Amino acid sequence: MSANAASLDRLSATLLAHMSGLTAESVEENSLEHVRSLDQFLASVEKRAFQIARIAVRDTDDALDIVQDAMLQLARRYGQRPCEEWRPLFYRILQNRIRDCQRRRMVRNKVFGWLPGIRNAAGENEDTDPFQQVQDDRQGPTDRVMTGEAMNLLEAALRELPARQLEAFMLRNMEGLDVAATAQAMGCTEGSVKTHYSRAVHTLRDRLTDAWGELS
Amino acid sequence: MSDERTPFEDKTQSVLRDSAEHLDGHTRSRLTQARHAALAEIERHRSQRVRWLLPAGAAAAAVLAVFLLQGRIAVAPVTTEPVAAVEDIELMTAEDSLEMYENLEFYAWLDQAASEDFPAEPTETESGVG
Repeated sequence: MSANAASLDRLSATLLAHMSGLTAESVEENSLEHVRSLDQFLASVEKRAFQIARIAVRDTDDALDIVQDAMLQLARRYGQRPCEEWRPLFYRILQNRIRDCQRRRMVRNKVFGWLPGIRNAAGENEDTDPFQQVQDDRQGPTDRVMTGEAMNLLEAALRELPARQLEAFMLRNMEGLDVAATAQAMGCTEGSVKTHYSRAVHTLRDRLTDAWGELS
Repeated sequence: MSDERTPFEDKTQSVLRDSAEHLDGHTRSRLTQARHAALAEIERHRSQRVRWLLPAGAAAAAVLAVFLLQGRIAVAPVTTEPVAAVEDIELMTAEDSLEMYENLEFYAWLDQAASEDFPAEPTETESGVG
């Protein structure tokens, strides 16, 4: 009887000590590790995410706002989810923000389009600071010109694509998501992703093969 | 549709990724600021959670301690039950009891015969005394 009581006392003391340790140390450690993982993940995708948004909305400032919003939403809502779920979730949020921006712009153009000083239909800023457009100098001048010209041609061709084909192409080709993750990010079936992507590739190939052939 | 990548797809990927890697300084800086803002947000959530978790953990520990103490008090009456059960078993399995149940008819006849041979004494009211 007294042995049982002593063992219960020991058990309760151990549990109390363990729970105190859990709240103060291990939770703190896990959270910090999670924050570090999220930092690495966001750093790895931020530039490509910006390019995806910029090509879709055709505006640097709007693209930066979209990426920032997607990052905040991911951290706020899904920051505690396992790391392997972040990529499709992040691109799902990003695509939703891009669509929201395009809808807002369409409404704004319809309502205020007749007023002077409103952004044009393409959404380009009229008062862009030229110093902000200076490119990185890590590439050689010749390479930079070639890549820049190829990118200009590609960007022009991408802007001709329907929105869903553009989404599928950027996620599959630029970001390198597989079909399942792209479907999750786009909120559609894998079959739809394959169809959109295939059509986008055929259209771009038709438009760019000759132009890129002249560049090389 | 085949999953194999064509040279055209490789080229478009290369051009797109190059353009992403060579963004201007201002854009890179803004992206870094956006990332830090997102991390600050998760840090704020984390500190809020820890602030809630400490009292919650202490409360859970207190509840657990109460349950454990109650369990220890309840142990005493529980341990007496097997002893009582053993006593019952001894009574029920005693041989004389079983013999009595086997000769139950004999005991009933004996009781009847005894009452006929020695009728009960009349009560005071029956004998008219009083």
